[in-house]
Amino acid sequence: MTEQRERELICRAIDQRFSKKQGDPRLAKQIIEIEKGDIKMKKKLSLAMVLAIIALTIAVTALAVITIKEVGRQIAENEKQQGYFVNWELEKKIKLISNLADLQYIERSDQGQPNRAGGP
Amino acid sequence: MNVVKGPDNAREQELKRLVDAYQTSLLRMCQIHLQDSALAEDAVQETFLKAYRALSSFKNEGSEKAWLMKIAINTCRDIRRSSWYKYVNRWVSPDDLPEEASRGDVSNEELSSAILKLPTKQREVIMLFYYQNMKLADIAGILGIPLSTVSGRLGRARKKLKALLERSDQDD
Repeated sequence: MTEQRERELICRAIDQRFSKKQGDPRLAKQIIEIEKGDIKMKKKLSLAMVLAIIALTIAVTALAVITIKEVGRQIAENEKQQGYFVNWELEKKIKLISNLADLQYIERSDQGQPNRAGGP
Repeated sequence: MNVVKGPDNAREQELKRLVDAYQTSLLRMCQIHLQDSALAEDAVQETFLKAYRALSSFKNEGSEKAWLMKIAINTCRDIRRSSWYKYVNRWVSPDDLPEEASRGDVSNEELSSAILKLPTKQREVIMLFYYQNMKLADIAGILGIPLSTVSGRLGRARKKLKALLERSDQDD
């Protein structure tokens, strides 16, 4: 087979495969506008990129839902055992706040005692 | 191509001429190179943008076609080197899937698929030599490799495509 014949066959195969994709008639105008700063160069999103963004969004949402559910479950479990915080006895509330202050979740007051949230 | 040093209007006219003349063939070459139509469109846009910026410094040492091909190949290589491309390229793009073939064009489909399956370096040479109808010396200049290397790559690629080319020829 001649080189010319090979060329014809390869060109025909490629042109046929990509025949649906034609050049953009506005391309030259767009490039001039990009260069002048009238428009920003837009990157087209490929299908793979869109799928990756969707997958990432789903993963982050799932993680957030799991975290919120877990925190809610722990609070519910605590309240089931201890009752609602507002109904606790004053000593219990003081002890909790003191523990929180020891763990440095809250600051102690000037008197060296934790602020008594909700207390007298 | 003449060196364009005139007012913006002359550069714009030159750009329009280049886009009209080479956009489609560059797009197909980038599609074969990157195997992703959206990235190929980006690569073509970037190629013409770089060419437009460099129009005034273009020296008429080689052909404008070779000049544009060099920019396009380098742009495609930059895209291929990006971590994003390495990540997404594991996925199958719709362009990689065979299009519905009509009666009698099965061999065309097979041939284009075989070209897409060639290693990147061989694909570059096949595209430049056959599709862009460029001489081996020009290809060596574009790819920045010795002529003997171009010749070797072309030979290996042709060997891989030979059976399909012969079948395509018989189908005609």
